[in-house]
Amino acid sequence: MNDIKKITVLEKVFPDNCSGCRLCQAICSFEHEGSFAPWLARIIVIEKDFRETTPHTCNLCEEPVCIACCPFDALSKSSENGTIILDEKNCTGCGRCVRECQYKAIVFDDERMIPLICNLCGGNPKCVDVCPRGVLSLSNKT
Amino acid sequence: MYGWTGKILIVDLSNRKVSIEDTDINLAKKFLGGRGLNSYFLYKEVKNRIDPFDPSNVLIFGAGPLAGTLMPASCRFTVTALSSTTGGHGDANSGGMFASEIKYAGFDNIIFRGKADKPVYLRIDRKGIFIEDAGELWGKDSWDTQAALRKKLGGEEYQIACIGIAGENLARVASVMHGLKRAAAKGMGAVMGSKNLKAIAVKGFKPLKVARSKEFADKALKILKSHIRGDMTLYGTTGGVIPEVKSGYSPASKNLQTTVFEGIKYIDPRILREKYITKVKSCYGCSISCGRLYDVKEGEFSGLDGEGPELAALWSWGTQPQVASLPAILKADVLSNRLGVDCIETGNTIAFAMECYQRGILTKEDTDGLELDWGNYKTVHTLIEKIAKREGIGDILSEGVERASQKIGKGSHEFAHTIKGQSVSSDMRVKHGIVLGYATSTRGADHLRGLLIDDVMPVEYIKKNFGEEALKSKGVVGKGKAVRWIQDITTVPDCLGLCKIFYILSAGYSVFTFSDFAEMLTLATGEDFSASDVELATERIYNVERMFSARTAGFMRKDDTVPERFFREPTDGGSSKGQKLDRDRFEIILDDYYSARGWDKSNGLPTYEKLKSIGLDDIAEDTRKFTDNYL
Repeated sequence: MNDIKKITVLEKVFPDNCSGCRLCQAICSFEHEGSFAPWLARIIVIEKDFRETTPHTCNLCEEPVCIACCPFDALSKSSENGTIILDEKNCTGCGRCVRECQYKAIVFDDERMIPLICNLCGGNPKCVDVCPRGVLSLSNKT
Repeated sequence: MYGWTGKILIVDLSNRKVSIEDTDINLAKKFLGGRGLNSYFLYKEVKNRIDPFDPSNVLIFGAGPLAGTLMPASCRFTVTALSSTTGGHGDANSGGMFASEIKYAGFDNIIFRGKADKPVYLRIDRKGIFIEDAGELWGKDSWDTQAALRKKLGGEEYQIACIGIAGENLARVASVMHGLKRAAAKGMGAVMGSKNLKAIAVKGFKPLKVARSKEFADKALKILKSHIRGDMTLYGTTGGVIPEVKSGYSPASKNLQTTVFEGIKYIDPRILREKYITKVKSCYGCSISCGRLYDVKEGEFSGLDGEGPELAALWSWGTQPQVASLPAILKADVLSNRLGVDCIETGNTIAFAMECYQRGILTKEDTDGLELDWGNYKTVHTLIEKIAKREGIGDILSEGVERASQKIGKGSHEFAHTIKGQSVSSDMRVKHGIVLGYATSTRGADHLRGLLIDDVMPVEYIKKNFGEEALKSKGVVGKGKAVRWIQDITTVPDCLGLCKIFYILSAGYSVFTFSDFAEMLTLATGEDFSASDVELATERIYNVERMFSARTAGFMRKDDTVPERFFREPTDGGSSKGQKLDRDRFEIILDDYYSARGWDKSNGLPTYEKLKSIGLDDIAEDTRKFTDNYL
């Protein structure tokens, strides 16, 4: 599992801090939904007091709380790349995984009533590619 | 529809009713969206010369077909109404995260009609569209209003446009505010206040689709990767002041009495960046990121923080009143943003009042005991508050430069630098090339929509298309065509929902062409747009705005001019020392401009035939009626 990669949010300073532009969310929703809908992005940009913004995305935890807390065994871990996989037929839309994730990295789709979790776009995350400030990177999980 | 959402929200505030209409595809193709559709709707909604605060005025928000997509800087919305400062066509454009949210809520435009009987706000989210009581928000500044609404509605995801107390008090200098500093100025905040509309809170939930999505994304990513301006990220728009610091001369000084400002070295944007700027802050989808957060850590204003300031704020709170202190400028910036006043019109009004004080036209008896001496930042701060509250001298100054000078009288109008009632923030004796654009803008004095500035123009393009003389500061031949072209190309981003700083100003007018914009539109909407389709649409928009102002304010050739002082008094410093404007030359280039537009030189208005030829048959018919009536 040592070569598992995750999206890392780099702590950068002016002029390369996260600017809150939401291009990561625009391209993420476009990649996964075919439309522009930042609230359906698998990367969540949290704004504090109209000022600083921080992207949150799946931490690829060793022992994912989301999987453990799911009452319906709807979530599992990919043996291939460590991402979290949703089995929609088991999901009841209770939203517990969203609440329990300490990384605030799971978004809830109010329309389909399912959680949306980053799948690394098959190893080439579009958000990393698009971030104009270079805040996002794909790096080895250590 | 693709790109466009296909829906327009109509909010009848008088009867507290909302309705939804389809976006007319033919109109959308003719006027593109955003500013363009807004301008057409305004023309259709307001037919007579009315008081801007009459309930029959409308307030229109428009987000263009590209807003909220992956196209870089697709973050802009336009607010349009009969202007509270000019009485003619009024609109203003702002960035932030609001344009995209309007689109995600499913609307291209929102039209507010009438007036609520008491303060309300509009809420749009998954649960519906509601006109809610805003009693507990009334009296709050723009930051507190937005914070209170997010708390009440339970979501940081709500994007909010609102007015501060300036808008509530119908200060004509009031802006519509969004976020910490995004502002739609030109008096739009006062019109919003006159409707008792405190805020619009939107949380979108409708995914936005474009027609040819793969090609659209490719185009967007190509622009994202190729158009990079590191200097804009470092300095934002304040970078424009660096050359002024180097030369020691500013075109916006002491109510334009001088171009010399000794203290300019203390407000150097490079010091601003090093000492006060903490973070970059973007509008939606922007990779240039010219917005910045600042923090004052020591001294009299320790603890102050905010977002900005822009070039115009450095002029308004710095060079104009001769304030040589960055923390004092930042304090004024925060005050203006929280209270919701336009820094340009407010700063110019304060500078105007200071000149009146300098000349003894205003005395301490008139100013509530305040000393309006140059450089007195405490006075500037106090006046911003008084203006927003319409308190004491602030009641007169809240009217903006033109109306304040009429109320003050005593020959003060000589120092009131306005065009069609909107004040001028830059001394055009320094760069003569900007004169024609300023004189003929459809919304009065305007530094964003038609300025032929020698050093940012695409030299080869101008030379090739309009001749070498068009580019020369004091040239004559080709000026009219060149200004018309700039006015048209700068109209496009306003209509598409794109940022003019990204696509025009930081790109030197030449990187993105009508063809580029046509391609973006085609890919987004699935409708075929050629470069000439887009150019023709901008021409229509300019003509509609022109006709609106003629009908409601009587603006014609006589109003297409610049402050008299610039023809009479020479400037006093820098490379422009001794320069003034030449009246004869001005009249010649104005004629040239009307020729380029196909307008009647005698009155400066589009002819019946001209309007017919660009597909504005309905407006052409109107012309016949109202030219007979009162022109």
